[in-house]
Amino acid sequence: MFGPGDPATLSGVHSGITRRGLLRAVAATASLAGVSAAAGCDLFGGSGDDQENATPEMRDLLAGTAALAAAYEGAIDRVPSLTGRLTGPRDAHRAHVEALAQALGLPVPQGSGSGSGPSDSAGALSALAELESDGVEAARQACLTGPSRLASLVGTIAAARACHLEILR
Amino acid sequence: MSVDALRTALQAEHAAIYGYGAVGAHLTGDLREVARQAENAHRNRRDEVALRVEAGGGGFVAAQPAYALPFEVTDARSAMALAVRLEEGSAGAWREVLSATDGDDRRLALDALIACAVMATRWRKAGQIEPLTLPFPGGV
Repeated sequence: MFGPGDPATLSGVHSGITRRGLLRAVAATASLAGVSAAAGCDLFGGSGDDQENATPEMRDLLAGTAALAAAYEGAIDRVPSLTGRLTGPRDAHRAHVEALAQALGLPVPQGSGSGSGPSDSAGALSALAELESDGVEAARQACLTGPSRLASLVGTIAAARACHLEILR
Repeated sequence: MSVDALRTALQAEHAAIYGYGAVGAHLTGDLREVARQAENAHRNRRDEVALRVEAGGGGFVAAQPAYALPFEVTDARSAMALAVRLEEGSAGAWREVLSATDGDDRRLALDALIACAVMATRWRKAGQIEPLTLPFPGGV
């Protein structure tokens, strides 16, 4: 089912092979990132013509990301018992706002207020899950239709939002 | 460039499939079933990517006979920690494909990135490995 199943045998096999690191295949990520940097894009997809990236779709994505951060902030204010569970996703959305603003050459949006929402735990989690679900699709579409230089950043944001849904369950 | 990026992601999928052999060997019950499903997801993705690489003139990308694990896997806890590494590593490889592709290839890469990142989070939850999620799955 899982291939070789004897841990002792596997251990022996692995200890004898150091040149072909498991992380080597995956580590090509680092070298590819170097290629991107050499091509003139920084890690967040920015370059000298950032304003060209600031399409209406990307501006909407930035505004939506700021709104997600604010929604988490509001939920934490209304339901403090969820603080530990929601802090990570909230901070992730804040990081996404910073990264997107940088990539688009736009100022970081100011807080839009935490708004209103459920004051019970189940209701708050459900409301956030609905927002995240919509957010995954928004980022997904932006990644698929947006410029190549932003695809990595926006795709990563979509993935982070999908992960948040796992935390909210 | 697109085929080169896909070749790199394909190598990562080969490595993940190999690594899940060690993961599954140290899990039982429901967790073993989760590992089996995760491994199958990588196998299905590997097959699809292999076809695209060959169709794009990238040739056949074989798996290595074996891969060194990043740490020794001795129990369920270390098995789940390895599963997290495998999924995050694959997510990183797919993340890099995004900027080198468009159309269906970018869609494939995006779906793979999301799937691997979500699976990493599930393993983190199961293994109580903090933090449960990362701001930028697959790295920046």
